[in-house]
Amino acid sequence: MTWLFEMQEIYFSYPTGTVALEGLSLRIPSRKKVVFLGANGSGKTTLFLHLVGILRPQKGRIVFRGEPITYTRSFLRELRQKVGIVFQDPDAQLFAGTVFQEVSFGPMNLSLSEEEVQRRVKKALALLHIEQLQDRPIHFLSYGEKRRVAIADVLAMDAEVILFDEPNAYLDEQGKTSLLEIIEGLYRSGKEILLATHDVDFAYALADWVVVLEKGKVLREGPPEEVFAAIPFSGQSSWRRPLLFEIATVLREWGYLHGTLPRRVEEFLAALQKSE
Amino acid sequence: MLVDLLAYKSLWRFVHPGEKLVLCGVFLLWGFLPFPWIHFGLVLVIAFLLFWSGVSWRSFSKLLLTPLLFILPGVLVVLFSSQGNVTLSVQLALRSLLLWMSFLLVASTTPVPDMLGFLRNFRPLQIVTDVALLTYRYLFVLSARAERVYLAQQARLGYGSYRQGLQSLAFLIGGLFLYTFQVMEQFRFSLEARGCEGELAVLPPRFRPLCLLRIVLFLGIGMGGVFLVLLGGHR
Repeated sequence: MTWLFEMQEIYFSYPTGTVALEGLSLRIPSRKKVVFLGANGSGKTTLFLHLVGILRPQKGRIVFRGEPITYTRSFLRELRQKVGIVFQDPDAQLFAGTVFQEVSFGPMNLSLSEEEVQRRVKKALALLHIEQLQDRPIHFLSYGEKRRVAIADVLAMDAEVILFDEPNAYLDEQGKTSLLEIIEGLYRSGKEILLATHDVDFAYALADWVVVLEKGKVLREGPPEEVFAAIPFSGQSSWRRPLLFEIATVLREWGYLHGTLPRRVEEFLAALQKSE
Repeated sequence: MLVDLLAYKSLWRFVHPGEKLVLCGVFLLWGFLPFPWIHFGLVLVIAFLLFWSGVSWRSFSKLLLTPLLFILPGVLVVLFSSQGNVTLSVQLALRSLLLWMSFLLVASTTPVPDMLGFLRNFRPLQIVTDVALLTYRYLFVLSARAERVYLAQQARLGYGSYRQGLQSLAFLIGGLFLYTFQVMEQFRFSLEARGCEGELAVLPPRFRPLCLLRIVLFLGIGMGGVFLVLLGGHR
């Protein structure tokens, strides 16, 4: 298996004394949708900031596609061209006058020609179906629209790896479904997807590989079925299994379902009909 | 904010800001020249231009309330101090109104980021326009946050009495300061992640090309006023 990122014994504490990563070691596989699950304060965002070289480990090292991150200006420039991050709060990311200008910010920093920047911006807006918003100011957008613009920001830089930090926060059900489709589409187009969330149902619907973080360390990692089956499920545990996983597992035990477990409701219903 | 909203919806939004600024300059110039009848005419012309650009009567009358707050007291002071010189007072009111409407014409047809994007072409102004753009953008983020906190405080009777109200307000302001620091740190991260090396470069706003003929026409009208004064036409 080829590794997208390798982290060896990473330690990081904030100046306030909060320990965010405590000897975290992890290898992230390539060509898998990797979901990081963790409660608030488990170190998900800190880890993502390390992966784009914004934060530097106080101890340990990070390797990107076989090459250790060196924190020189040129290396970081190249890294951030390849690895983009969509932040949790779009208001902390979007600053320009209009959507079109906002999405042009990243490509402009890559010193591309104005024509190329325009082409990339149009392409990113079209991919997310938000061309009609291009002349709108940011403060006139809904939360879901801001979220899409924040994704377009990263797409326009043509990043190969996209990190999504809690992208489903504050989204309604329709917004979540639409976000899932967008992420699946990006994955099919060849992008590497890493996503942080504490929503186990969302994680289960998307992930090919799950990493559970707790107190700045990896609690468990692997394919979703294995990870969720192994999670301790008791009153004291901070975790619960995805609802669909739980029901489908029971139905499979009772002989109503066969084969691999369904990830989405529609897959589940189709599997049930088939077993009838 | 009403002017902000009007600017984004204006039919003249994509007219080049250079043309609008020159036109505004010409109106301001005429405003400083001593021709009260022309001032009256120009007030009507600008009112017409405002409606043409998409400002409704309703919006215009709402906007008019603000300058009236400072024009009327000024006019009354002049009226009393000049022993009832109505002509002088009306002239003063017209001139003030003309100057204010000249600015309104630009403000209600050009969104702030578009104007800043245009001014960014002048390199020495870049740092000022970048800071102004961020201030403008985060004004909305901050006011939305303040509104949410205020509602949450109200829901818990935070403004029930004068003392409680004062305390809640202090918490609100203190909370906003903290929030500003948090957002700014995230914002810095997001700039770094997108390869920013100090400059907030984005594509310039998209306007129609500058119409030189109109600029020449506007400047001609302005110069006409100056010549009139030089030739003593105001006497």
